[in-house]
Amino acid sequence: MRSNDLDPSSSSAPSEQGDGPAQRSRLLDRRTFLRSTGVLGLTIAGGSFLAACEAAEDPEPEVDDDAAADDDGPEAPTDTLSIRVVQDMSNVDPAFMASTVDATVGLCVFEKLVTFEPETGEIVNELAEELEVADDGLSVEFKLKEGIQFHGGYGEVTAEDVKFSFERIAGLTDPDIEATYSDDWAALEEVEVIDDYRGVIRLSEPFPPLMTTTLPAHAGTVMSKAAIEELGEDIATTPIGTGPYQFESWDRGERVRLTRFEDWGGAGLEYADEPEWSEIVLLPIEDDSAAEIAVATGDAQFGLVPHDSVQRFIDDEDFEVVSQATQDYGWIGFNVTDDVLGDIEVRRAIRQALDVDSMLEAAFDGQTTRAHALISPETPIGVWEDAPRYEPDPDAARAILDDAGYDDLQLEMSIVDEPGARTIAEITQANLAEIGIDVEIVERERDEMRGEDMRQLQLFYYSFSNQADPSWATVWFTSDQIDEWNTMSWSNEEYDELHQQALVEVDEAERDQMYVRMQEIMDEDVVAVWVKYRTRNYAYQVGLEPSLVTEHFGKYRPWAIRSA
Amino acid sequence: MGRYLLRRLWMTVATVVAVLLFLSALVHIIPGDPVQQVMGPRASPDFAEQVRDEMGLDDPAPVQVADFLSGAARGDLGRDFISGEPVTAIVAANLPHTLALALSALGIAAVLGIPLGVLAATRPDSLADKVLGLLSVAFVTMPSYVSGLLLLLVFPLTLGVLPATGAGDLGDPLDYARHLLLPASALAITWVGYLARVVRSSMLEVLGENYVRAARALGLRERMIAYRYALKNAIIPTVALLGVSLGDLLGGTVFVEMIFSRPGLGSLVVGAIEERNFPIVRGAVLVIVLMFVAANLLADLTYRYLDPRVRVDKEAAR
Repeated sequence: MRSNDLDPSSSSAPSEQGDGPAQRSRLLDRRTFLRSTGVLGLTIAGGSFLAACEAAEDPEPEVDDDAAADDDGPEAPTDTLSIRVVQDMSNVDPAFMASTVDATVGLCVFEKLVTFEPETGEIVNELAEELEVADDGLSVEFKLKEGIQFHGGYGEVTAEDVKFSFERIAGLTDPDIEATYSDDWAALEEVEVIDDYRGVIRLSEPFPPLMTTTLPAHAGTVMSKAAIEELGEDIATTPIGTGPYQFESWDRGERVRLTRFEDWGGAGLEYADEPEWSEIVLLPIEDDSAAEIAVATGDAQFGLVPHDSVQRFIDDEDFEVVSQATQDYGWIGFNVTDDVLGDIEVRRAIRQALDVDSMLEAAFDGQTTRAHALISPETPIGVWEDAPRYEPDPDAARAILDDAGYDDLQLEMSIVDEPGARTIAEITQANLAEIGIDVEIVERERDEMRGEDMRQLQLFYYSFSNQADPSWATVWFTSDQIDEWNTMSWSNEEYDELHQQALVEVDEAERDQMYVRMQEIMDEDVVAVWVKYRTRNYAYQVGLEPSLVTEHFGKYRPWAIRSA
Repeated sequence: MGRYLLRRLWMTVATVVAVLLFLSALVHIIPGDPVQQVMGPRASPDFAEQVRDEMGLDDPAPVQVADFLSGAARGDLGRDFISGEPVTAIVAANLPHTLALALSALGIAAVLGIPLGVLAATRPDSLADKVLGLLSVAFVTMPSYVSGLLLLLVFPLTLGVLPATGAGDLGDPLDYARHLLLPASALAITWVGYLARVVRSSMLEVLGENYVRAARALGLRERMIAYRYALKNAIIPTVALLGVSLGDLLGGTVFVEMIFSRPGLGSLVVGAIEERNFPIVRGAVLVIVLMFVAANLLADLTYRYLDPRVRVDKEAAR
């Protein structure tokens, strides 16, 4: 959400001229010194100008195929895996993890009772030897694998650690830490310890997201009680877990170093092989162009790359690209309390006029997935298979407006600073001009898109991140969220009720139908034009084998990446 | 000199206090609720209140300013409210990288810009002068984020030399220097052009002076005249400029640190702004401002030291 899209035409222009400036002038006499500095200046200038000229002439420059082969510079040693991440680590306490990067560190350092299997996204045991959810959905019995050690000599994992970890996030420990993810344990009554390895998680009511966004997610992380009691708040930057890699160091803004944990208990062997890297280094590179160069030069062997660089990496025989659809969604929304957009016919006309495929092609180089409803097909439950596919039909759209008696409408379209937003708004502007609606594009701060400020919105493009349970997406559009996150200011009683019912429905088929119905209601009320599910594209050096986790927040497991 | 220094220091202190006041007010000026930003949509009202309390956001504005001022005076810039680490330590860890970058850029700018200016001035209207003139203007107008990307494309990507990202290992000076060369060059390019123009014009002025003609009449070699006699006088305006440039370079590190993914105060501030992490923004900007003010003060004093006329004029006028 925070990556930049720099102009691709400014990148990757090869130059035949110029050598690296060398620092040899110190020992020379003044004459030679002057001459050499002059030459040096000209060399840099020559290189820059040639590059600039070629970049200007070549709108689609290619990455030099020989760059990696010729590279005698920054090739990382093979037993270190370096990965580009989109921002710096901030807080790796699972109770407060703030970003995908924190989650990526967490996937190496921490383990959970159960987790998502790579590729398939099925739930598999991790720290749990056995795990059984009761039929009434009110209790979960677990038995831990024996002999699993925490990092830093904090001893073996016991049911007491599980109890402490879950109850700490739920807010049942003293003092209540007010964890960001406490809602994921909203139904937790207690974790009862039976013996060292066995325990029962007791819930006050059935909680269907338990096995999708609680136990396998942040809230399900098993931490060391002794470590937290000893380290206190420092646990935020000194994570102690049981994972295959232990936290070594964090050089703010520069790198996070993880080293292989030699006493690893092997909980993850259920779904992956032994880790092979002695060290994993995460390099925070926020700028997309810089990230592209870092991967192309081998500074990072694996990393998320911008949409507009994907084709270049695919064309380069030294690299491969793997794409991963996510459940994060972007949409063009209507403030249904607005004077103009309050009329469903206007909304219907706009939906009929918009050319979403062209938006995706222009904004994301076609490297992302079109959305037809709120819940992505990647989600295990609540997917609306028959969601209508709207195609642009300006004549029909104009007819709707004519019938409703509208002529020459003017609307404001709000966007925030995020990749592709402006392009999407510009295409919307062009599409709607065709049916006689004049659109003005306004860029806003994110904070202006929520709270009471949302009342001033008309048309807007926005996107939300999401997790593997549909309730994570439907919650934002309930009436309670008006003036919070329900940017459409939309209220529908049936939708609200279904959201509440689905939260406690244990019958999967019933629950699935509830979420489908909620999406139908959104479609009937024409509250949004669904645009995309975000696709992440990772480029990596040939010879690596990535390990993606389709349905997990962290999106990939660094430690399970292998060299072929 | 003593009174001047005292007056100058007073102004410096006043500037710093003004900046501190502005930084304290920053939280209120910038739109958006930092608490919401940090906690996300799932923040409970209770917790938001607790964070607000910890950050002192509920105190009256003058109290917040006083707290920040007294803290800063004691070297306590508050705590990063995401990781909980002390801001002073975070800033201290990033400062060396930014200083190294800005000072090496200044070095590159001086080492390239001054001789190029002399070269152009000693051969006015020659081909070399014209080419250098064109290049200087191009350099001056080239922002560091453009030159940075171009350097990245040429050296690491195409030629496969020099690293593209990171700052290297501080414990290994050679490695650190390798990582520093491209970012420092990107940052320096504008000032190479600028210095070359300034040195050229002040050299041209000086080369027309009587004492230079006298030196010529004595049959001294041109090179000796240029460097031993003319440059000594012509360099004085450049010194003042170097002071200003150091401040500018410190500010310019933001782009370069982002493009080369280097740690430093610039990238620290950008990251912190995105997270609305005000304690870090405040602390880091304060340090940047202090360095800016110090660089200007130093330049001013050096200027007066190098050119006795400035002292004499001012003191005579009093």
